[in-house]
Amino acid sequence: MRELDDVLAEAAQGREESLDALRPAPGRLAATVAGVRRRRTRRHLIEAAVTVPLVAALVVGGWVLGGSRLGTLPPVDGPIATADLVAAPAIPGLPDRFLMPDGLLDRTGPGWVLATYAAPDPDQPDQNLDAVLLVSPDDVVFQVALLHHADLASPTRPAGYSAEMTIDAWHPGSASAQVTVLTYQAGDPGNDSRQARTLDLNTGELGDAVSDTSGPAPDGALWLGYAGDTPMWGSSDSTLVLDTAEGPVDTGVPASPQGLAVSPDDRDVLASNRVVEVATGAVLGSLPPRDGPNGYCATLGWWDARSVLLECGDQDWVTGALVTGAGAANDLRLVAVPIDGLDGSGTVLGDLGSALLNPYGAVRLEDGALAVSGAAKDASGQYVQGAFLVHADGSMTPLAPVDARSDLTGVTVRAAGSRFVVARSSYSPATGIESAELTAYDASGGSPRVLLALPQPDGASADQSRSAGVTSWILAP
Amino acid sequence: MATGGCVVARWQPVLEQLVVERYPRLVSRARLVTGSVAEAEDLVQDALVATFSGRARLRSVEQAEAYVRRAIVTHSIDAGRRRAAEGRAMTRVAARPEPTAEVPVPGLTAEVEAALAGLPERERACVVLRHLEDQSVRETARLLRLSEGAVKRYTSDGVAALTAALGVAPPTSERTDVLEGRRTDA
Repeated sequence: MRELDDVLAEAAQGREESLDALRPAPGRLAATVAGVRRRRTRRHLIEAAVTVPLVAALVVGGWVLGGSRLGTLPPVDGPIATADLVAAPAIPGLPDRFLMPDGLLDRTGPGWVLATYAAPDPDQPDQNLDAVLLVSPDDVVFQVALLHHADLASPTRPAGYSAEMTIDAWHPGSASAQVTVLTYQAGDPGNDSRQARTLDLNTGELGDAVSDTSGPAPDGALWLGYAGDTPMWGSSDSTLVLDTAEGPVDTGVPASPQGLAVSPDDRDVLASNRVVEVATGAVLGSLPPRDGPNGYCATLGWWDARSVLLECGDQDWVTGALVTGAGAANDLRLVAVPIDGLDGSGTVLGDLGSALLNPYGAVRLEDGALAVSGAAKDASGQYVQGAFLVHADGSMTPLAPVDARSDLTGVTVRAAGSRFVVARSSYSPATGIESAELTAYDASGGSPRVLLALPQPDGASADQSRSAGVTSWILAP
Repeated sequence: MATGGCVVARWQPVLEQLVVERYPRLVSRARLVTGSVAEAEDLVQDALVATFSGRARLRSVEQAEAYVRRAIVTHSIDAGRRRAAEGRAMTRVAARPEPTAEVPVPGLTAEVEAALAGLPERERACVVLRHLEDQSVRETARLLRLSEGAVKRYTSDGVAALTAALGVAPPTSERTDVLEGRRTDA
């Protein structure tokens, strides 16, 4: 009698032969690419929110940004006494939290976290809300504002559209944050719109839209964010436009929201492997070719204000070909390349061998170690994603909790002094929401502390536990 | 200002090459866990988006195909729930491609697809991952977010139903797992 495995394989082969001439319908591949871009953009909102120096006032198109007050009180120093705080009303899906006392924003400083946390809206079952939460360095969670998704969507949008808000930038001591309001329709990624707005953290009110770029328009521009105080846009040709003091400059460099990285000093932008000077829009140079002097490399982001961090190996990641005579296929190196010498070899920061399969990014800690997010093999050979300390001698220590969830889509790490925070994000196909939980570590030791966890499952379904969580976050440096 | 995004859009050429070269194979695998070729194409699209949106390093088309084939099976479980959630929002259908017509298939293929269609979705997913995609119990459990014991039970129940419906023998490897699964139940 034939065995089941053989019959299954033969059946699959028969179906494949019957579909041999099948090709994707026109537009399906484009829709797939658009879908990937959208998901990556959502993930980018978790991974790439930034803090910016607060400027006295920034005028964009006649509209004033950053008019918030600088703190006049000293930063909160030491643990916060919670005895006199008022608990915020419980909302299923949101963590326990306190109402924000008056004046607290003025006293925030390095190590504070500002985040958006999505949860089902108790007043509107089909909608979510975004809670804006502030977390102190000693892990006390405050509710800053609640924004209902139903109220965020543009009134010009037809029914069926949803909206959500993410934080792009915030400076500790400020009562104002730069945010993006994303309006979208499930299954129709071509009609997303992204509005750049400000959020008054004291009142929870959104300012007028700086931009409203609703899909591809002939003269449309895509809001990309800020490089310091310089607005960045995507032109109708998807090239980077910098709104400099001399007026808009189209750099001619292809750019997308998930493909931009601003240097720590806001002087330069990485886009499509090119370094662009923010003040002038001039292209300063290009990163070494993929198969250049450092091997086959991909860019992870900025390492410091004057160099870029690459992950390099000896295998072509498109063809899978291994360079003859080179090391093992999975051996990777972290390499810093100075932007004033882009054609040359860089400095190897860590030779990761084959243990770390896929680094996503790295930050330098006070003691010289690197906190690296990425995917690695655990002791049993399983593929896990998480954050790792890479020490000066190249040894690697996984940071608990190592997470082997199959739906984990990203791990991001940011540092503020000796404190660093790791975001582990996952995607819920049921809700279309990319969300994360935040865990804080101290480079000098101590146990990790979960700052904002994913909601606990209520037993209804596994997906429900992924239906909400942190959707964007800032760690004040 | 520090940002952490990946700067190189390295996924797109791999995705496009995969779709150009392997589309019939991907749809055929998806058809085993869906009710029609049209649904299979939707499922392949979902699996492609999920795979290429993730952070897994896709070093070659072969590797990407393996990821997508696993994602096809795991997303076949999520698909019904997701589409229910999107139900109202999916009113705009003008941009959706015309569904692909069903084409004749060999008798065995039709029998197997019908038998698979009769299984509960988790049993079907476990059987396909274990016996068509050669995934271990542990890996199947990880992919489907199930315990290893649950994978063994679903697989053994699915195999039993299929072998009865198709008149074939259970795979040799499954006999051990079935016994282990029964011991777990006991």
